Amino acid sequence: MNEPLTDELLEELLSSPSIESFADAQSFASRTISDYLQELLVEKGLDRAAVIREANLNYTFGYQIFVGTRKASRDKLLQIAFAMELTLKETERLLQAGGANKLYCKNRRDAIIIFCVDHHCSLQNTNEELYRFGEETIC
Amino acid sequence: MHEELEAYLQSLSRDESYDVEAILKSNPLETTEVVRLKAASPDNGNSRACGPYIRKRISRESGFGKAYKRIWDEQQSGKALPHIPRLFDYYQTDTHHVVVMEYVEGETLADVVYRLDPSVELACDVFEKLCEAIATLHTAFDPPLIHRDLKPSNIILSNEGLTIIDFGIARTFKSGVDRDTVHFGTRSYAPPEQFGYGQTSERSDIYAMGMILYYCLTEKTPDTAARESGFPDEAIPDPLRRIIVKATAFDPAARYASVTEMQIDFERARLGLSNIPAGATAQPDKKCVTPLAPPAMPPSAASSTQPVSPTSRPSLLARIPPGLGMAWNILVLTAWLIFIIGTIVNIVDPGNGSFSNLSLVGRCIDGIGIFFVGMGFIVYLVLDKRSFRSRSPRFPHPPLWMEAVICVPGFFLCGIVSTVIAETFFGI
Repeated sequence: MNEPLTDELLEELLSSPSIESFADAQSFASRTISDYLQELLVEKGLDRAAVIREANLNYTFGYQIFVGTRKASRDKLLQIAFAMELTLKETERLLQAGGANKLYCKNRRDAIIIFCVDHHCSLQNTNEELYRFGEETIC
Repeated sequence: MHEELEAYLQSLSRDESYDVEAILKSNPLETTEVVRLKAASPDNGNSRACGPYIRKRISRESGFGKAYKRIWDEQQSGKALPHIPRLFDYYQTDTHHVVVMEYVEGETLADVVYRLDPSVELACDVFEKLCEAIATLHTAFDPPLIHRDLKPSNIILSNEGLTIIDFGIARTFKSGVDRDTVHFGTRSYAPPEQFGYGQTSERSDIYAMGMILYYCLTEKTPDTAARESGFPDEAIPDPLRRIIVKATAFDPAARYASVTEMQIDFERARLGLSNIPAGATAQPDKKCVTPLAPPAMPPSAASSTQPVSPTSRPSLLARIPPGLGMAWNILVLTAWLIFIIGTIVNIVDPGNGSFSNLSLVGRCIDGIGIFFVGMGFIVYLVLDKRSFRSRSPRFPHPPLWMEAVICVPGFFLCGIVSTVIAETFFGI
């Protein structure tokens, strides 16, 4: 490639930090919780029943969350997030799609959960850490 | 992990303990502040808070800021990273990477060039230090840390040396990857691949360094037209212009493969520009570009240098290939070794030779004085030290005439002193 780019093309490339983040931001706004959960199952190659089991949820209740017929609490969504081994960004989106507050690092309990999500801890390990720091466990 | 989590929670609580004194940069992706740690007890007489520090909050969504985590990990493991600011804290919140680092006092390279005017001496002094700094980034980290935003305003010069700042868009080189996922940088100094052609690598930083060298020589912001025309400028001597052209080649494969390679070529070019001593000039005063800077001190006198003719031919030494220089070094050291062996044999069994009228102690003193120490001066003088100079810019490298003034008399002095002592006190 010997020809330099034109200024116009350079401007286009420079204007977006990354194409993926731009497309991602545009498409997320309208997702429901069931859509997003289904998308995550497909993306990560997970089985719904296995996720519900791993999340320590009652199967019927978990199924209803996945199909959108039951609203889940914030902690239940976190249980699902840990079971699916979501990243922090995915977890935040799951909470947002489920109508729950996002994790807030100024809140000590949330800060511990943020740390555990970032470090790919299991639900059990996270509960242990929450207990050790005197915070309410997730389940 | 519990300890790590505890440290993390403490970092978060410390986040509330800083007073923001100035905001240096603020955009949706990053905020840079000058902060001080609040004094624990303002009434105990020790009311001066700790600091100042630089605190950066970098949005996690931007994908930037991960380089600070690597720097933090390396510094926490005890590795010394010269030319990189010392990090005092690093943690991640739900939305940001937060890093607290030392406040590097000094002037930016842009300010220094403005104050001292662009020149070959300034360029040689600064570029030598810059090579050392960037080599640290590329070699002290595995895989290499690519800065990606090298430019005059991200280089701080002070009496302590040169410091690279702003690792916001730095990234780790990943082998097997076609291109960067996030494209950012300062247009004039960023190489073409940084805008989407491929993955940035050490050669991307080398491109920026070439542009910085151009800037030091001309105080002009480099542009595509200058690069395409081969940087024609009467302020740029040909040997340095060739380095800039090679460093800023469009194709990364055509650039220097490493900072060390460029540094060696630069050293060769610098020697060819006559007697510009290493470490000369550019003693910036302590005026700082930020609001918390101490009062500006009068600039210290620049080291004197001889005028440089941009059109002078490279000296004889610069035209000798490095391989031949290495062979010469081996020859000289071998000859010295032979002298040493012969001296040892003479000390042990002098026969009827020159040491025969001396006792064993006298023979040792005379032999060591002449053939070890004295000859060592001459060996040092005649060795080809170009490679050593380029690899160890911190060591003082006096010019050849100064070495001769020291080494030749040194050889005779050692010989005379050792002979006098041996003959006077240890003669048979």
